[in-house]
Amino acid sequence: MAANDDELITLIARCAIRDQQAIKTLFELVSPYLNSVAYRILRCNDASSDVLQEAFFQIWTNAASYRPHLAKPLTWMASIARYRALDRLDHEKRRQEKFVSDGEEHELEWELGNNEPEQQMASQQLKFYLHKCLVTLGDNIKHSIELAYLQGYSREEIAEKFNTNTNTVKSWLHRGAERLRLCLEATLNS
Amino acid sequence: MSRSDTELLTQDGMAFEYVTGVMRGTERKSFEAALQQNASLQAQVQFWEEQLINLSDTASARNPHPKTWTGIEQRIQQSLSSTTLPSRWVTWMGLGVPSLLTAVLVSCLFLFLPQHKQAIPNSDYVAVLINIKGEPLLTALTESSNNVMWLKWEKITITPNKNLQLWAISKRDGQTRPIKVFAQTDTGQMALPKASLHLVKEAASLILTEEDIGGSALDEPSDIVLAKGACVLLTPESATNTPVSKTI
Repeated sequence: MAANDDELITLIARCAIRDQQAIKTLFELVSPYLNSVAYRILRCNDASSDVLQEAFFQIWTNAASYRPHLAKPLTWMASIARYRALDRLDHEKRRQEKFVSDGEEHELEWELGNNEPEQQMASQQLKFYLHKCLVTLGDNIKHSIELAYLQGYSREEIAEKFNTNTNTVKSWLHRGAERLRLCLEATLNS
Repeated sequence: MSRSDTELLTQDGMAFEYVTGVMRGTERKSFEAALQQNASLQAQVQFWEEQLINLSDTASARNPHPKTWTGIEQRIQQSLSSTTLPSRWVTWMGLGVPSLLTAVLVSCLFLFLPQHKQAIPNSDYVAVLINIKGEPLLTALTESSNNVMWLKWEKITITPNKNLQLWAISKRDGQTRPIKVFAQTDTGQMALPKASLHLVKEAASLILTEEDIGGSALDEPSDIVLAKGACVLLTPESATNTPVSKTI
């Protein structure tokens, strides 16, 4: 994705004043990434296309309520796309084929993004910190978080994957959240 | 560990579950309803959203179906041309939409270039307040670095023995709070106390009303609303986007 934060913020602000060219430019810049986010959860082109439509319409509609000091623009837009994908998943309740997927149960990616060098470096550093902290949580918790966030696994699906029960998964995630936050804050503040 | 610490940790765990996506169905809906009312919960969700996005590779790309954009465009057009919108204000905004962007740009240039030969101020929030006919009556820009609000008035006739009052409608709680009373429409620039600046930053929109001299005695706007406009952030604030939330 070739846009920097300032460019995305400006485009969102222009959407807020109903500049239709801005939403089109935004679509051209971020739709491949947002589509990859939605597709990874839904594993269906039609569904991810629908979700993308929902997400961009919501970006257009809610642009005036976006506040850059609260969230980075890509985080804000990716969150919208993820939540709409999760809504869709809830709606369709089609997940049985997930664990025997087409070999596309993706390796998690830690590659460098394609944006500006300074931003790229900061982003890479944050990825590194997160990865470093996740490793301290142990394999089960780390993998549970990744499956949930990246591929839309529910507690039940994670439990099935690890041959355990949902209460254990809930406990893993809560404990994971507590330790992850402590680790991230210690790392980022040091 | 105190009870409130425990509650915050539990709340943080729920925020984490929400952001990771394991929270589903009615549990998710209930959480979203609570989220609207709870600022600390919002901060926790924002923290996790900002951190966990680093799990994904933002360079990953999957081109959407070519018809996706067409679908978005159609929905936007439908929303703009809808004539059965519920609120009088939304309808009002709809009337102003075609001219809004032009109004912002033209107003900014017109307002600032002749009086201040240098560049447009480093404005952050802007609201173009339009009347029910969709005509801009007032453009307001804030420059938070200098605690200043810039104003560009269009032709407004003030009723004798009346003043105008500018208000902010909070995005957070929907409350309308006063910013400033104007006896004349010749104010081009005014100092904005930090509290008022905060109101603008938190505002979904600004409104301009007609009030008795000195402004509304009740601290509530009258029914005579002359203009209204969404409050939009134009440029990012400095010292923002700290990666870690300060609230734990």
